[in-house]
Amino acid sequence: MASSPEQNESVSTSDVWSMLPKDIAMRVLARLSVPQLFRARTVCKQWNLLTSSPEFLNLFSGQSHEPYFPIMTSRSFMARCPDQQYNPEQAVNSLFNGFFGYNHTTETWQRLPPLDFLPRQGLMLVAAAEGILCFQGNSTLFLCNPVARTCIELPQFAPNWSLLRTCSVNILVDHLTKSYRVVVVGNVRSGSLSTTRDWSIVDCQPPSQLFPYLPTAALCRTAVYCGALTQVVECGGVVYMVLASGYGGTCGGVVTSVSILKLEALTSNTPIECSGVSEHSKSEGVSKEWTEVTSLSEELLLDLQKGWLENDDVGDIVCVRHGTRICLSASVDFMIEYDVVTGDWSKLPICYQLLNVGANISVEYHRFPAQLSLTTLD
Amino acid sequence: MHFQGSPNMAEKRVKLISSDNDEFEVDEAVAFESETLRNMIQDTGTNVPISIPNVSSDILAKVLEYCSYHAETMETHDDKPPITDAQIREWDADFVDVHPATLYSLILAANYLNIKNLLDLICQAVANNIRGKTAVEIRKILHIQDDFTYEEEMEIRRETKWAFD
Repeated sequence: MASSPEQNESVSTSDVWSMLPKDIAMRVLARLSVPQLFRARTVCKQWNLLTSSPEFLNLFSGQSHEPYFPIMTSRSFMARCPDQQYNPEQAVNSLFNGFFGYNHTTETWQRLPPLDFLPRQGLMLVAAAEGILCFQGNSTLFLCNPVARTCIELPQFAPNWSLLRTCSVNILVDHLTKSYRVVVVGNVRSGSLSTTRDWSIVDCQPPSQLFPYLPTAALCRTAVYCGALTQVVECGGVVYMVLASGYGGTCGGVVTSVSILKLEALTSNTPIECSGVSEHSKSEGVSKEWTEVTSLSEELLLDLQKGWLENDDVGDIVCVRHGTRICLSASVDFMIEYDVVTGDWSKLPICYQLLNVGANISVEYHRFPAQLSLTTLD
Repeated sequence: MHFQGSPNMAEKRVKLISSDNDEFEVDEAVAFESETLRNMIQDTGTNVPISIPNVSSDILAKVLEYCSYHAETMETHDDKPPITDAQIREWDADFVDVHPATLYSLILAANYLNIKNLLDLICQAVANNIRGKTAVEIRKILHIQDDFTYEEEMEIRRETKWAFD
């Protein structure tokens, strides 16, 4: 081993990389994800110094970084006995003890920053965008950056509004002005909060003829479809619906089929994101009916049912869309992904870290991808 | 795009001299991939050979191979199907699949010649190399000396403990 050609070569080229000009080193490091960057900071003093400079932070936020999806959080219940039934009341006293996201580039589950700095217990993670997480309490919303461990409380809504469970919260980001708006969709009207920190009621007519399932909402890139099923995702002007059918309750029930349906050309002015789909929709013309694109194979369906029966902590099937992929998860050990361009289903690895967070935990899946950002919230 | 094959365009050639005095002759369009060369050509014209004192022959040949291919992808031919993005990505991936020492020289050349796409490509390749690696592994790959004391390293780790899982 000691005399392998590879080792000899590396001796002759040694030290070149440590002499890399600073601006090039920064260009390389700006392409790492946040956790990778933090690991890289311990490589040498120069890297630590470089990556803490304002110039680097600017370069880093200018790079596009793949979001983590799906993401999951886990909570611990202090007083929950193992044989006790799940009690939503206890959620109030729960603490987040795990936050994980799937990195599609490295194909691994990544531990995301701890959520132990939140000002209150029992908050629910309701939205995420560009490194900002939005948590919902009883009557207020909190925005936080878990990397910077900063948190701000948003002002209360108008008196006649309350943050009901039926509301859907979304964060819309304007990349040009680097500003964001928090949009809350209720069953009557929508409230919108801009970075000026004033709530305003926006007129938002739900496309009720398409989505009779009030009052939830789905965020599709830059628009909010209110009244949409939460299981609806949009990709390149085509709207996809994930339909799971079966019998029994959410716990202990059996899912007998999972299909993905699509509705083409819902909005005429939607920017086209993936060419494969847009070409397809052009050739078929505008249709106003849901058509089945795919359904889960027998084999994957059996895996899903197995996970469903063995696990007592299963909820609904949650889907997250990013790019051309739709990810479905039903339990920690069953996550699959459908690529709308290639038409392939693939299984994601199990998040072992989450299985090891301890007893008395409840796992939550979230319907949005999450990013990490070094920019502090203001 | 009908003028592509016209004699005027085809004959405009640029001479480049590497650090070890080898002469390279390329189409103007190929040299124009480099912002540095573009500025030089616009200043002095194509009659005088341009010397590139800090890029050696083997690296310059490699850089010009990249520029030729990418200049070609911009052209449209009636008789040939256009090169797809997937084909370009595959070509690029093969291009950066070289020894780390070559990659290092290429990064400096791309920086000096100001070829943004090439610089981005290589930076990404290096970033991919260190992705998912521990600090110890990165130091080994890039031959970087560890100049932290144990306490200093632990101090940095402490603030971002979650990232080391």
